[in-house]
Amino acid sequence: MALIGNLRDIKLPSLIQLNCMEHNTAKLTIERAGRFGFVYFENGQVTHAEYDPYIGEEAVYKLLGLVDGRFKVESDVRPPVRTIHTNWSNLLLEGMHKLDHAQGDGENIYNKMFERLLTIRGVNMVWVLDAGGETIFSTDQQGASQLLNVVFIIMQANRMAAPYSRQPVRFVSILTGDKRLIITPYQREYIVIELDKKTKSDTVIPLIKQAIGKI
Amino acid sequence: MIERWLHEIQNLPSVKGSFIATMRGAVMESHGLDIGTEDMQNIAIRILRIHALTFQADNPLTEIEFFWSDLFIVGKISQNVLLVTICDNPQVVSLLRITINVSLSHIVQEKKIYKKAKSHAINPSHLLRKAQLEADEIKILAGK
Repeated sequence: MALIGNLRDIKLPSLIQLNCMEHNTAKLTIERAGRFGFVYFENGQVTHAEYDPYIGEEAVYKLLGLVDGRFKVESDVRPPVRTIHTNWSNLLLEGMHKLDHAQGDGENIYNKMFERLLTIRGVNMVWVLDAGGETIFSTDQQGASQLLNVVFIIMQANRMAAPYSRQPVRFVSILTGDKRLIITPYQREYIVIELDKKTKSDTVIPLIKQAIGKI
Repeated sequence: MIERWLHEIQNLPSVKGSFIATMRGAVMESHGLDIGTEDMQNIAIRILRIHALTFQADNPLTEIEFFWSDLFIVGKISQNVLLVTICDNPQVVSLLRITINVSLSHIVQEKKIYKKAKSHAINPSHLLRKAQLEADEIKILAGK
């Protein structure tokens, strides 16, 4: 029988520790926002891992940064290939060490922000775009090309307010036939959040502000 | 009658006023606003350009809201009519949305409005033609 749960309840280091100490042969699948990661155990050692585009130890290190995501452990599933030869305890130690060092880097900041935004009810996807409108981080690797020209939208918003406000626009909420998009400038970048159509902007924006402001 | 529906909107807390425009940005009626027709038209055109972007993406917007620290603007499109409401801040937004929806549904039935809106109906992409845009806007649109 498979063990199923969420990383919010059992952290990945605990899952790895459990499988290794029990000398398990198993496959651990993690899914977060449509992106999948895999960790394979063979006789109590971590022998292979994947987290697109990472393979091997690097995939484990990236997966250790996740604080949220559904997981499933299937017993007696062997790895397709061996890419990790480091002892599991050394692998975990190195991973935690890297994680500590990554606290300040951009990817980690956005990962933490994504985690908070994705816990808001109605939020489906989040993108971070650079000043030129190119996607630099997203919770979903697909769909970035479907985004509107956010830079143009914010420009239009700022240019329409002139008679009343000299402030830059803080949020733009666009309701289309099947979804709501919320766009907000963030430092020199833009955050785009896709929500269920029924989610009201005035109820979700205070939560978004809180999630973004917590960085 | 149109005045009455725009007045209903203006009666709500924090609402400065509202106006209705055609899909070309021509202002048909306004109520409560202390800005000129040119400024209203500027707001309408910019909302309609964003509408044109969503139209080109095969997912046209029906409603758009802009939040500033000291201003809140709502644009709602129905049957070739754009209703723009300008507020000091987003207060009682649920009630505002309901009032906007009800008012717009009545406004689009007004014969005078219906006729003019229909005569101004255009392909939304027209508003994104180079001749309509400033140089930096053309550059940003071309870059995407």
